[in-house]
Amino acid sequence: MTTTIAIAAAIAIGLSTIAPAIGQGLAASKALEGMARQPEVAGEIRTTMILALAFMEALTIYGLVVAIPLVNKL
Amino acid sequence: MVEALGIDIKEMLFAVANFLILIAVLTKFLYKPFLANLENRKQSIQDAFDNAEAVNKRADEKMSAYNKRIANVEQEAREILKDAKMKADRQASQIVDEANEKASLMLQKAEAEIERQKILAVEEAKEQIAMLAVMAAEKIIEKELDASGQTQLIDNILKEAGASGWQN
Amino acid sequence: MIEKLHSIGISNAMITSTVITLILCAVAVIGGRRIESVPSSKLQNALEAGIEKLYRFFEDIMGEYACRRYFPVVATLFIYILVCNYSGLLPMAGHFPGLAAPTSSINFPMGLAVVVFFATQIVGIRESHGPRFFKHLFQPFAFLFPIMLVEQFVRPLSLTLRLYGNVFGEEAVVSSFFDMVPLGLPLPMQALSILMGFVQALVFSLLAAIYIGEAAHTAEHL
Repeated sequence: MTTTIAIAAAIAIGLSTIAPAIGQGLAASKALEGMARQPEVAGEIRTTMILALAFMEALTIYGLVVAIPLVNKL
Repeated sequence: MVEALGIDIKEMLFAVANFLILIAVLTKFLYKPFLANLENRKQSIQDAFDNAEAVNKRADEKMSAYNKRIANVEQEAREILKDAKMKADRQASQIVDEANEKASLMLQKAEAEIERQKILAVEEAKEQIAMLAVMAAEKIIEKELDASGQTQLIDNILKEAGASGWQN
Repeated sequence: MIEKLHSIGISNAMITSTVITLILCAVAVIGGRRIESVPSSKLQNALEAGIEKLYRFFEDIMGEYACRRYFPVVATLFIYILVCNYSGLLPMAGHFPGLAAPTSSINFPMGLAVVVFFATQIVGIRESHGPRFFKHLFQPFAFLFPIMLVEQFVRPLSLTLRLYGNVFGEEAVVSSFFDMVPLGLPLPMQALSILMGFVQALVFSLLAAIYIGEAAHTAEHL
C-alpha cells in the first residue's frame, strides 16, 4: 500500500511538471523572439508572458497539491 | 483534503484581518497623500510651463511691436531726410535762379552802359571830327581851295565819320 | 511568550504576518507623516518612486478609471505578498520560533484570494449599480452559465494554490537541499527564490487587478 501511494505521488508531481515545463519553454521562447524583434513593446510582452507562465505554473501546482496529501499519508 | 493541506479558518481570518487593516492604513497614509502629491506636482509643473509660455508670448508680442515701431521710426527719418533734401534742392535752385537773374540784370546794365558809352564816344568823336574838319578846313583855306571843293570835302568826311564805325 | 501564543492556537505564520503588517503600517505612517512638494528625505523619494511605478503598472492593466478607484487593494496585495515572500528568506525562517513565511501556509494565500473574490463581486455590483452585474455570467450564451460560475470559484482556488504551491515548494526544495549539503548548495535556489517571490507577488496582484478591472468594466457591456 505504501509503495503504491509513493508511486502515485511521484507520478502526480512528475507528470504535472513535464507538460507545463514544455509549455512554459515554448511560451518563453516565443516571447523572447517577440521582444528581440520589437524591443519597444518588450514591457507589454513581459507582462503577458508572466501571466501566461503563471497560468501554466498553476497546473504544476495542482499536481503538487495532489502529491502533498499522498506524501503525508506515507 | 482539507486536513491534509492544513486549512484552518482561524488563520485565514487572521490573514484577512491583517490585510484589511493594512489596506486601510496604507490608503490613509501612503496612497492618498502620495498620489495627491504627485498630482499636485504635475499640476504645478504644468502651470509653470503654461505660465512660461504665456510670458514668452507676451515678450514676443512686445518685441514685434517694438520692431514695428523701429521700422516706423526709420520710415519717418527717411521721409524727413527726403523732405530736407527736397527743400535744400529747392532753395539751391532758387538761389541759382536769383543769381542768374542778377547776373543777366547786371549784364543788361553793363550792355546798356556800354551802349551809352558808345553813343557818348560817338558824339565825342563826331565833335572831334568836326573840330578836325574845321582844322582841316583851315588848312585847306590856307592852301586856298575853292568853296565848293571845301564843302564837298567836309561832307565827305562827316559822312564817313557817321556811317563807318571807325573807332571799332 | 511565543510558546504561550502557540498554546492558544496562534501559529508562526500569524505572528509573522502581524509583525509584517505592523512594520508596513509604521513605514507608511513615518513616510506619509510629512510630505513635501519638493522631497528632501530619501524615504519619501523611494516611496514616491515605488508608488508611481505601481500606479502606472496597474493603470496599464486595469484602465485609468478602475485603477484610480481600486488601486489601494491591488497595490497593497502586491506589497504585502512581496514582503511576506521575502520574510521566508530571513535567516532561520521556519526554525526560529515565531518566524515563518506566511505565504508558505495555505491559509494565508487563501485568505487573500477570498478577499480578492469578494472584492471582485463587490466591485462588479457597485459599478453596475445592483445585482445586474451577475448577468455577465449568462453572457455570451446562457447555457455557458455553469462553466462561468465554476470559473468564478476556480479563480480564488487557483490564486491560492499558485502562491502557496510556489512558496511552499521553494521552501521545501531549499530545506531538502540544506539537508543534503548545508553549505553552498541552497544558495542558487535561494537566489532564485528572490526572483520567484517577486514574480509570485506580481502575478497575484496582476490577476487580482485583471479580475477587478474586468468587473469594473463589465457594467459597460451589459
